Amino acid sequence: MRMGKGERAVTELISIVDLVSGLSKAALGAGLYAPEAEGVTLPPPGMILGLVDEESAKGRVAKVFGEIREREAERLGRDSVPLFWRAIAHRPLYLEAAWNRSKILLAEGEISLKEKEILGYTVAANVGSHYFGHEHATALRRMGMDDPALVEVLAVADYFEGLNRVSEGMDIESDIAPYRAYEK
Amino acid sequence: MTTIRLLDEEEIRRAAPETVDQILAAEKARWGIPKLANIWRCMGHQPEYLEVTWKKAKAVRQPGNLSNLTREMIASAVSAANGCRY
Repeated sequence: MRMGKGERAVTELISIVDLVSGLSKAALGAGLYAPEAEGVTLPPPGMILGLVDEESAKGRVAKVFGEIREREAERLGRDSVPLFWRAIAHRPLYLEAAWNRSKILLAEGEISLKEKEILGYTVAANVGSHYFGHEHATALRRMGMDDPALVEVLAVADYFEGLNRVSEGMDIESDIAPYRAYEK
Repeated sequence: MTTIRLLDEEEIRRAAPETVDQILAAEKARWGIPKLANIWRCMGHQPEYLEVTWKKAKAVRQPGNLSNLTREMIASAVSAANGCRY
């Protein structure tokens, strides 16, 4: 797995799995099942939580919303705060902590930002979050990835999803881990 | 412990010689794994399953936009999300 990458890179990879699986499940809990349209003012059908208004946000929430708008303008090409963050803003300290993780973890590191978006797309699909799948796909399209490139990601994820099921279902002992971990 | 007996390389080779040779060559080149990995030895009980899965593996590894490293990262992310130790 390392292929010349060190423990820092492996941990960065796991941090994206941690980040996106957690946020994805929170989004499902909020009732955010579908990708969102731009400029939404009312909660979309099926949404469980209400939305904190961007304009009337104050203090900590206003500061975080400002940072989110700035990043997502660049990353997603939008000028509003995504519904997910507006939904969790009912708890300002949680909003701030969740956003800080996203800000710090979803940034260029030993793993590139594009690779992290690919991992985010993979994990969102894996945990069943249409909402975040759409978000990472949007970011990837803005980085130049087209449909064939996205299917390439899904194909790799599909293949390993299947192998995971087989090896776990049959409780097959790993005989390849040593080759992977100490490879080159 | 594995819930079924893992076949020996030679037993699988009798049913799917080409696939076994291809897997061995590819995994040796890629990982330095000198033997048939356990997951293939499990699938070998149903040789056509082994063959179609290996074909899928080859399709997934076709050159494209992703580097081998990125593919491995996707594999690791899926496995970590699924809690798969293999």
